[in-house]
Amino acid sequence: MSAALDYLEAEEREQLAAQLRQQGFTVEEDYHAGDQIIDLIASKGGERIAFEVKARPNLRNDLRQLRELRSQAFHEGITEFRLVVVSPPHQTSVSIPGLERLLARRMQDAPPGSLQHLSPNVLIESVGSLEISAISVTTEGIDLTGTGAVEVAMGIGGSRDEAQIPDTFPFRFHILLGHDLRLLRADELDVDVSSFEE
Amino acid sequence: MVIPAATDESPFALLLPIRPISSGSGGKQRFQERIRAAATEAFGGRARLRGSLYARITYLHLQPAMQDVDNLIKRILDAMKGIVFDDDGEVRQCLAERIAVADRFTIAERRRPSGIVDRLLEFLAEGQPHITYIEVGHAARQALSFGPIGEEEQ
Repeated sequence: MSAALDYLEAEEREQLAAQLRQQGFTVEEDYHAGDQIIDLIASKGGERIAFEVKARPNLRNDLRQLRELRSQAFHEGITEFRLVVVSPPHQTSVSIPGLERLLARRMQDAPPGSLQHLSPNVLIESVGSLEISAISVTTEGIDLTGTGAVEVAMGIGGSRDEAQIPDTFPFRFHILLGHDLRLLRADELDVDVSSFEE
Repeated sequence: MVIPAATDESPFALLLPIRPISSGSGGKQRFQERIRAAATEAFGGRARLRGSLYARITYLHLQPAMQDVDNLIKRILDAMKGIVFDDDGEVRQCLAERIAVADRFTIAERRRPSGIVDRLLEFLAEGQPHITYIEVGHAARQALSFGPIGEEEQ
């Protein structure tokens, strides 16, 4: 199971347990039923409900385990078995050719203040690991918000003996591209240098 | 895939990896023939259900769907006429719903594990884009209820 799906299931289990307790159920987590472990057993009055949380991509590998789990749960006197199926958030693929180069060039032309604060001689090497969190296409252009990482070399020391220290920092961006993919405006280009200051 | 009902006492149940065709859209005949064939295979030999009946129709879809659930009912009930029951006028309760499987949803079983759930989980694991579940049985009682359907389920 991937860590992301593991996390998704764990988070759902936690929320579900809290919700059931709020509704007056007594909740037992990781209930042992024979050689099986049921995520949650919720009891109230004569009701005894088993809950199992499964990420949809895990169903394929867990079909047999689920069959045994359901069978064992009813054998233990469970009145109802509920399988809660969760799915990872839908991911949209967005790619804008040359965006890394555009952002790198913009930073080279006007280095962000936080980098200049670290060193007046900062060299922007490259930009990468871009993740676009929002995109809006209007008649004015393409409005983009996201995050990335910038690789820099900072000059430290005197001009002749200056040492170049390489480093990588995360940054946030909010820019407007023209429909021809030229950079029209950079409303935000904030490089987080807190890791350097630590 | 046809899931035969377990006993004569059990409701009639069918689970098919198909998209229901709503009334008003094309492909009506082929869709109804498929339902009829599956119903005959699953229900053949049993006495038709008589009296006050309920029908439950659930469409599970992987991709976003805009299908009106109220349109699902007529074609499915029409297709089962003469096989599962004599007259769809006997169906006095009907629940039609659609479930987006890309969102969180719950499958609930009561009393004992169901073969339908085994098959449903197989379909889901295979990534079937369309799954239709049809169940018809004897209506339990007449009762006027208020509030969201299925709100008791988490």
